[in-house]
Amino acid sequence: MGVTLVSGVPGVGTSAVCETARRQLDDGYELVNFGDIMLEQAAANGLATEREQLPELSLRETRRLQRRAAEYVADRAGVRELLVTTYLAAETDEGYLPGLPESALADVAPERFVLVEAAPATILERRSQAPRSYERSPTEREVAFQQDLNRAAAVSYALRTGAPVQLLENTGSVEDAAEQLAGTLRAAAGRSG
Amino acid sequence: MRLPETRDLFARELTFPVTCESVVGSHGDVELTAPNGGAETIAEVLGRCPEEEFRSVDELYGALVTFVGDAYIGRKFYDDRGDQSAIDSEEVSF
Repeated sequence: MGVTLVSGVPGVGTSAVCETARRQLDDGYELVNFGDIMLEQAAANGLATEREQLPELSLRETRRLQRRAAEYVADRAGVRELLVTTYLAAETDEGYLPGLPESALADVAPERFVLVEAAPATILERRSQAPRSYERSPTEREVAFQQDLNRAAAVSYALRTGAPVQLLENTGSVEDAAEQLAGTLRAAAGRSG
Repeated sequence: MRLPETRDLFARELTFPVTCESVVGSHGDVELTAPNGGAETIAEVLGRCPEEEFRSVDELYGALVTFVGDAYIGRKFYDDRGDQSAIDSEEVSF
């Protein structure tokens, strides 16, 4: 069983692509959202009950939640092939932080990273039409910066784990990107099986 | 199941937007287990939620976390794994 980490900046469509890909896969796979686990743990520790509150937590609290989430992923990876969505570079009130500090990266032990990307203008357009509200309205330059940070974080993690980094362009239909992602997962499972 | 497991369930079996009533009808019997023990069903949790419709898995998951009962809410800073101070000394930079 392995872990595929999928990441993209807010608005690029990572969730939609992964949820659509998940429906194309069988019961041997599981879709997990790293932030879901952090939020569950934050609620269990009386720290937060809303996703928007997570960036306001202290560095110490954030690290602890990341560690708990990584342990959860490690446990689930023993049962199924995991498709894990996460921010490789997480925005906090103090700036961007690696989404996976060293101990969490070791627990998650990803086999591959998939970066979902699109042109910044496309991402901003999707954010304006998304069925959810975003805290901020970044500029195209900020979105490009976030995508650059995502790439830098992915390469940093790849250097430490030996896991390859793949680009998944979500520029057309969600179905096309999802089909490509599902194909990647099936091919990887075939190689390891 | 644990709360984070519901994302996979909802992604596979629901089409969004979805009404709260529909979620309760199709998945209300699913039991959510708290990390610190205790459990309640999705129907019990959403029974406290005023939202009539969820536009995405994120919204539905957010409602569950917001309206889970006291069994989910632990003591702040409680840690059952002993001293975790080493975590704070980890490198932060890329």
